[in-house]
Amino acid sequence: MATLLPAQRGYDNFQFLETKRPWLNLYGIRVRPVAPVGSTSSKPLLESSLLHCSLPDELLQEVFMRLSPYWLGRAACVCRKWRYATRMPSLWRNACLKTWQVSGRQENERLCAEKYGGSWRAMWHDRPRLRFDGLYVSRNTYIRTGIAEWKITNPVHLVCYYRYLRFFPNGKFLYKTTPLRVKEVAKTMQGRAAKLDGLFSGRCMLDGTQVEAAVIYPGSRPTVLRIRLRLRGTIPGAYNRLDLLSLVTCGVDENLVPNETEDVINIVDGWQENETHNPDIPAVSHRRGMQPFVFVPFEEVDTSVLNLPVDKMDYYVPG
Amino acid sequence: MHFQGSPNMAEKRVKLISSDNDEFEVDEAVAFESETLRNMIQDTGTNVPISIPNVSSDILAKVLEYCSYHAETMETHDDKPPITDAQIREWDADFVDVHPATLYSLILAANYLNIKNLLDLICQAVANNIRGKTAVEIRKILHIQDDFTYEEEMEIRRETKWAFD
Repeated sequence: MATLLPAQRGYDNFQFLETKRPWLNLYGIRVRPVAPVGSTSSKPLLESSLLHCSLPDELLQEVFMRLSPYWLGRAACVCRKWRYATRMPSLWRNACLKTWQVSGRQENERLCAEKYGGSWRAMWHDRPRLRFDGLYVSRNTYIRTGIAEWKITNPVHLVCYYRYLRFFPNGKFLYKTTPLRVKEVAKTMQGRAAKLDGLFSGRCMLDGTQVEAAVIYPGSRPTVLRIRLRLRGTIPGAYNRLDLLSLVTCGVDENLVPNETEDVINIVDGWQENETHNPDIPAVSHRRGMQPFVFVPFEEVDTSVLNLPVDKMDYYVPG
Repeated sequence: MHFQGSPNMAEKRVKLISSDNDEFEVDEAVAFESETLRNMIQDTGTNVPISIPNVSSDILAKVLEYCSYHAETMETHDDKPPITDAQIREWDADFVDVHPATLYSLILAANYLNIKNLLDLICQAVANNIRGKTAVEIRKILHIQDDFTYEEEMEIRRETKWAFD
């Protein structure tokens, strides 16, 4: 009896170590101990998993080539084979060249070699970038006093409206301010600007984490809206927040108004914050509705919490 | 029997033998959709049956279905209106609406037979399958075993956190 005891205790300790990992349950993922080589349990159970194993790397590449980097990141979590397959530099090179196409290929190649040690994946992760696969949404609320009836009630309204930004790889962006919710707006933000919808198109520039964007409001007195933003991420590499630094409307010289929206950013380039080029229109720096922009990918526009009405969510912390 | 167009084109039939020893007979134009078969036919002619040892019957049938439809869209008939691109896209979408395991076999077959358009179509379909799903869901659909150790799992989580917002 006495000789059995230490062994028994050892076994107990082993059990204790095995079971006391409650955090594993949090991820909803089965974490199996890896079977030793030659063990029967390592045999694939289904024919289709055999097929998956036999799919050559070059064909897996063909599939991964058609996925955006965000889905590549997720695909890397599937299994070892996929993890290594998603590390293929050409996948990340394509993604980088597409994302920073404004810089040009040579400049991108130089940056990758000099700053990121030749790793396109590191460049993708570390270099600040705007996301193109969704909308940046700024949810703003303000309180408006209603009309008092017979001095019995004194109503106030909580008004909610959104600013939307959608960026494109070629430096174009779409801007819209509306009370409509994310899921209603997402479809209209797909392509060209339609003035009827209050959708404006402009140009933007990314310099480090600073975004300088300008939209022109056409009309008899052309006005430029200048948006200055700071790009950051709640997780390193995610770049899913844009802080609104300033929002200025100012006048432009009518002779200088570009026909297309192409050059609007060059016109206001180097202007002071309160600079205006039309004496009738003073530069106005807006102070309201300055909530940070939150990124919502297109896959999540229908399910995002930002769709909640004010009675369900009166205040939103962008984080 | 009457022939439209050039008779010697319509006449030629090609025999294909799958890995399960089933015999398929198709028009030469259909077989020509595949680069590999085209080369084989040009080498050996249409008299000898061509065996395709690494494609099973059901997959080969599926591939030939694709080839014959796309060979048909190439032809122009006077009496029928031409098939529009939208119709082709719709047909293609139906075609790839199969079990992911079948898609995998189709990739291998399309690669072996060297049918560029089919390979494009299926890779896109598999990519669409993967998009919008979590790793757990992908494993379930494609029957992939999670072979990460605990340490690897944690490392990969750290590494790809940016993709999950």
